[in-house]
Amino acid sequence: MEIEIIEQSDSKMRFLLSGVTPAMANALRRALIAEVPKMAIDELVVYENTSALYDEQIALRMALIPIKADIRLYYFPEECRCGGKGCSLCQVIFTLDEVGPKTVYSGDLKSSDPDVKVVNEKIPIVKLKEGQRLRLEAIGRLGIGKKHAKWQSAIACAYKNLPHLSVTDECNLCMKCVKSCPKGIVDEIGGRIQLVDGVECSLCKLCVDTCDRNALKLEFDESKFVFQFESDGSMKTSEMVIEAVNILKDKVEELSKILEGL
Amino acid sequence: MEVKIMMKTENELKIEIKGEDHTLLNLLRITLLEYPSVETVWYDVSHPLVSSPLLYLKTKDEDPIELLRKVLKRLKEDLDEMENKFKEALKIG
Repeated sequence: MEIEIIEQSDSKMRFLLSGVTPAMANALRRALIAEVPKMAIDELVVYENTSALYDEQIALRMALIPIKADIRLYYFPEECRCGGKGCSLCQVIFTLDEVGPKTVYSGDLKSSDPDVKVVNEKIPIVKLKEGQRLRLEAIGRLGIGKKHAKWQSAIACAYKNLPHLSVTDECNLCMKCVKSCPKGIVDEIGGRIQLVDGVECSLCKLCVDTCDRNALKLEFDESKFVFQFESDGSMKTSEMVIEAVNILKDKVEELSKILEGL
Repeated sequence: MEVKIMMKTENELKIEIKGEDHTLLNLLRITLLEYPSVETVWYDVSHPLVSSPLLYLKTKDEDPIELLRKVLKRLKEDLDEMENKFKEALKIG
């Protein structure tokens, strides 16, 4: 198994995963999307809402606001010592009290834990007119993407097999394919047409289509995966990927433990 | 996770794994298929929202539970390796 990081920042990560089965790559992808925990607003207590939006619409808009929190410091409500009733170990309370005329932004939410805050302070929630008021309490809880998309921290999470060009002897080095490539990654090296950078290839197959002699074929290396995903800001990509691997490990360990007892 | 044995004979095993889905089951299935002593292995998720997937395993001569334990041990090692490789590549702890 080899892992080569191609690109990495707190919000985006791209790596080449090689020497694993497609099932392993897919398990990692599924774990990233559906199992990595995240904090999101789960319940609203609305004291006053004279805005143009219904309570439910505001609840939906607030739930989708990404919240940055250290997930290791919080429990899932169902696993918490309070038994799911709600305590400071499993929930964060945000308060909001705004009077129009103004636009209410995500940054107006005041958190009960100074380390838990919204990722972006400029997400509009609702526009208030003169005399309108929004006063509420929002409860943030940990959850996983399997339950609701608001708890999904990995976005645009996908992989492709590493492509390469196979060239037959029919090739007469007419260079049409080299010119056709929109990314400029098909080139002639040592008298042979080659895909120079398979990672960048968008699989458009223009090189294959422009070839008059049908000499090119785009093939895939089935054990190499160009894997990429983005974070919504609630967690760093490096933490997310480690968390996903750990979740898979926990599942395997838990099943082993149960089987030991059988 | 809760495991219920639906059927168990000398070389067959059918278990229901509550709370899991394709993430774990497909990984298990594909890894099990690599073993020569496996005759058949399949899993079935009858409905993605409510079901608990069924895993069926038929071996040629080995005890299926023993084999499943062996596979899980190997998967654990693979995932440990993956974690270490990630930590190495990302230069963390």
